[in-house]
Amino acid sequence: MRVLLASSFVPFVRGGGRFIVDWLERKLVDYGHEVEKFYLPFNEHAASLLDNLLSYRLMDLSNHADRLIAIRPPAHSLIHPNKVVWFIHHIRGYYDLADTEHASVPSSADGRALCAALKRHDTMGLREARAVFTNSEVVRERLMKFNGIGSEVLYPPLLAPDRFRCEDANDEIVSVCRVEGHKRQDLLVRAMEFVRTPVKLRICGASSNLAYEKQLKKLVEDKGLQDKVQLDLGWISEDIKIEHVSRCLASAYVPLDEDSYGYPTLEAAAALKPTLTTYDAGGTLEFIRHGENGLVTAPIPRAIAEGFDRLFGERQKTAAMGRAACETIGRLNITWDHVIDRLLA
Amino acid sequence: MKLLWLTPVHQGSAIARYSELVLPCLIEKGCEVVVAATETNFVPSRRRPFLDLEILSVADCLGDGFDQAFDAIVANFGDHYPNHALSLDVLRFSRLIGIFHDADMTNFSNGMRADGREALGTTGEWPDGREVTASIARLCAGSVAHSSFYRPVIARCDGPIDVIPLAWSLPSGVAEQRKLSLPGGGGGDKAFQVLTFGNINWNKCADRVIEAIGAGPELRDATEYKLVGSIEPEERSRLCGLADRLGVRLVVAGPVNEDELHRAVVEADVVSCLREPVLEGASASAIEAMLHGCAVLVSDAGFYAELPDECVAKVLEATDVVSIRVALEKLFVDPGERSNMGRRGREYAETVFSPDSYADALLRLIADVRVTSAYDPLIKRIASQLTDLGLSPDDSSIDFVLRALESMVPVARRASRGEKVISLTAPCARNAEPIAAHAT
Repeated sequence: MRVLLASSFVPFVRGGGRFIVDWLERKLVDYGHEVEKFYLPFNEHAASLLDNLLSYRLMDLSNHADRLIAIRPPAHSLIHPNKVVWFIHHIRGYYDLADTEHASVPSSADGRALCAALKRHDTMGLREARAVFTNSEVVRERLMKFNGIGSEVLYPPLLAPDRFRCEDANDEIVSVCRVEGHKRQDLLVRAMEFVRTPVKLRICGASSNLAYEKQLKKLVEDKGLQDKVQLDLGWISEDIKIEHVSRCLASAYVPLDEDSYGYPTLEAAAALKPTLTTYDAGGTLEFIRHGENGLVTAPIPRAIAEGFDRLFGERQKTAAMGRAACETIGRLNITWDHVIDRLLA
Repeated sequence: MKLLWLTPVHQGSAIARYSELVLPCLIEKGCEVVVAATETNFVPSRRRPFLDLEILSVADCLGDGFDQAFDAIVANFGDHYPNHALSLDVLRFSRLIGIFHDADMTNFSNGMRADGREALGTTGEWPDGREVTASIARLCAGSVAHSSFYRPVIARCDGPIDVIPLAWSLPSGVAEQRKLSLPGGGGGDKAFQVLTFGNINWNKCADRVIEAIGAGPELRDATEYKLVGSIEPEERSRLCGLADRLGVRLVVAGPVNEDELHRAVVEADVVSCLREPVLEGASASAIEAMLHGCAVLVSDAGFYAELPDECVAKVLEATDVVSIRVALEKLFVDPGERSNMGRRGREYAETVFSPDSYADALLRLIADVRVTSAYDPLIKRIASQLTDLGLSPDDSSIDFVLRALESMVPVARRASRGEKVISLTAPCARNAEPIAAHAT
């Protein structure tokens, strides 16, 4: 099948939103399909939001492939008679975060009207699709709540889970993801002030938020945690990431109301390591069951510290939870066979 | 969602009563509503209850940033300037929805002129009644008519428009007094009761009804014709003189309170809602009579013509005496048909004129207006860019761009091919002036 794979991107920002596209492309090719992948720039700033949406609507791809798979919004605005959407998140500053500090618009009549316009546009574009999939139950529920669109959850797999291995655990909890405010690495650092065991924390990841980077560094210094916390800020190679994850005690991933379980959770599970998360982490909770394949704590430093100590102090139990995490991948059918079968059905 | 609702609020206004019926439904559906009075002379002591909401003056609402304080403004326009004058003060608000209660606003226009206001059109000329309605609609971001016959008039509005049947219901406590049994008349001691109510002026055709009743002995002898509502002394004198000459029993009750009015409707065998000409967008009197289960006599024109034939008795549009007589005699001799017509009319009115349905439809329109208002700057830019390209209106490139835009939001295209001019009109009041692109 000739497949167009379309998504949006923010220049110079890399993360899960690109992995899902790049990896799907490679897998579609592996499965024998002819694939043309392209990213379109998208500026979600209020002043240019609708202009950007129009630029997507001006692209009629009807005659260029058997199927269009649209991923990051507003790729679902593109026109194709056989459009399938793998919807990974709303532009949330106009939806559930519109009345919060993360809003993309002012709290005014004009701002609310723009939110309504985007919502209607999204609904229109999604209704054109022959099928709509989401990357998590959280996003599936939001699509139903905000757009009245039914969808099927299709969990995104890792490109090469086999590359992760389980080696003897060291004393480190690792956190490997973009270093951003909503990923809340600061919460992990603050927790280290309260741990009672020799457990250590390693934070790896690039950031587009220099202020947050500085804040993390200062936090480590102010709390005197240099011996307990290792900050590896910047983009790390896949090999180094695998090395850290494969040797760690456990993973920690504590985003605020994340759209999906997050690749860090899946990478840890592939290495037979459990993940500690918080009960307000959103999609992560679809994967992590407290005490079974990880820990779910309150989003406060002391509670997280207790979790870290437990992971360190109960090593056999921690290893067992890691094995259970790996089994969870199969239980949730997080496989490329399933993904490609559904997207091309 | 926060709404500013502009309406007359005094007890004598049917539009105030309509507003009072719709607002609770909007509030129940989650809206926060601020009410502002549009009368030139608002007397708080004469206001309707309006759920005990605070009623502001329009001026109180027009402070700095008021356009961002409300998600939409709903302004009611009827053909009586003293009741609606201040609705003019919010024209060109980007999310203004005009509710047009009358197709023809000649009286409103006369009031504007007498009050020293400027004409609304671009020419400075004072247009005729329907053109006034159209001119106001053009300045609104969305418009509502209450029946289809004047939809073309409000279609001058470039934003979303809709025809929503007027919201009306009987006051609580009155509904129980509706006709539950066959009407009387046509025999026995009780007279055949014909009723006209409201502001009794020449437009209500009372003189023709008197002539129709007086045209034949059987109907004349059996009938009592009652007029309820305010009436000028000269008109009273004229009608009474006519009835005396023709031997018609005429009762001129004058203004009455709501209870007495409803009693009069309950007692009536036929309610005459004849109008010549038909100017109103919908008739609260006719709907009220239908809700009471009365047989209703209407002119076959405008709003009345859109009522189902089996629910009312229609006379020819010209509303001539012979047609009225024929219709009245049919109803007189067939009490069963009167009863059945009343029942069908009541069922129809309860469904179609439901305030709750009205609120639902209005909220859909408001949602459309809010969305189109967000596209306002984009449409402006596209129009400007197409202008700069200098292409012919027939050029496929223009169509390509506009089709993409129209897949997102309705856009009014105005193309005059003969003159080689294209223009693109934004759907909101702020852009109501067409932006023309002259092809070279």
